[in-house]
Amino acid sequence: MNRRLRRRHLAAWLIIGPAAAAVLIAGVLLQRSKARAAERPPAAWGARP
Amino acid sequence: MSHGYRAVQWSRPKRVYDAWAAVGAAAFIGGYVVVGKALHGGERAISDEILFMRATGACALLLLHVILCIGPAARFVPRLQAVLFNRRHLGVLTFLVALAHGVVAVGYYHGFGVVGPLESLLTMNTRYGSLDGFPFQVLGLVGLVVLFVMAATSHDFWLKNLSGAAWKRLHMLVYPAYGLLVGHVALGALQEERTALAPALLGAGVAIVVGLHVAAAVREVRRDRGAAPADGDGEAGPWIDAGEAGSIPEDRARTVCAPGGERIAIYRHNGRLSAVTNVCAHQGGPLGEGRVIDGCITCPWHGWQYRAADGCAPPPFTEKVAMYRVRIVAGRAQVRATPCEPGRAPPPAMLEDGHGR
Repeated sequence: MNRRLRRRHLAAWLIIGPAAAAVLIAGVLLQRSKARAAERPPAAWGARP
Repeated sequence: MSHGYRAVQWSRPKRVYDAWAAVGAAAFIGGYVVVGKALHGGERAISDEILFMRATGACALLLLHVILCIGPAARFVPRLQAVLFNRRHLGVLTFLVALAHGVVAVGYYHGFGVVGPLESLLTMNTRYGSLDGFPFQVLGLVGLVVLFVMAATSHDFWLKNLSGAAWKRLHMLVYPAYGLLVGHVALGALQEERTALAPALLGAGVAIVVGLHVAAAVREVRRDRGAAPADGDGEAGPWIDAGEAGSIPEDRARTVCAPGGERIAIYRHNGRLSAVTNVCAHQGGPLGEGRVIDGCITCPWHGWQYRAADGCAPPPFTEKVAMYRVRIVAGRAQVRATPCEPGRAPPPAMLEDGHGR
């Protein structure tokens, strides 16, 4: 691999790495909030939220 | 290495490699289905289609992680270059497994409506502005298309016809495709999970892939910065010090970095030193990490060969790599920073005692 290609690889991963990590974290947070909502007991009729 | 179009030449090592890969993938999918059925019994039962979908999806993602890790891992553990040799076969297998996942998923979720399955996939959910309910299937579709393009152009026929640079750019699409597939899983299958196992595994996978690539790249940048000091006494560029000539192992090379950042591999063969560019004409593999076999410098990535004497591939092949002038001064090897024309062979430097041992 020549130097230009090596730098291109590094640049690609410096962009894709954080992007992949960000979308993964967003997905996990979303899943956890859904899981919490599913565990919450349903509100009784007429009860204030 | 090939000098014309031929179907894949199935040598015994390739057959063994492919058989192991196929058996491994089949065992993974079968094991996933069996364990999944055992874990999800009774009220929590999952349909066979969904289990197969999950198994093939997990298998394809695991294979993609392996493929992406092989390259940078081989920079740290040279023994892994043996796996790198037929990495493209793993890529084709990954596409086939991902295709099975996609076909079953599209058929199961979009195959029974009034519009066509693909149209349904692209139009049923268009909530691109919201993370909750994001159309993650489209991310998977785009990733699958990229895997298809890579599998279809993986043969050396395309490498030769597209040119090495264009082929490499095309195949670097696997990096954004990986990002899309992580998004596909994170916003899709992960949303159905109720335990921390799947998110932890995916997180570990992303950390390993990204960490390995960045670590390998940083290591290479450091090596580039550690360019050997140059002695500017020549009209064709400076001479670069390459260390003690006699300490280069027979049939192996020492790699030095030229001031411009390009690398040069100084090989020792039959008591002679010859220097070639470190970049293989095939896919840019590190020639300096290979060895001399039958008088030919052999690239560690895919076995392309160049004669140590003149940098030309043995007949009937026509590839050439640039050579560099090399000399020995006070027992130390020195190499010119400027390459000769490819195919032009400068005289080798002779070690004093014939083999320098």
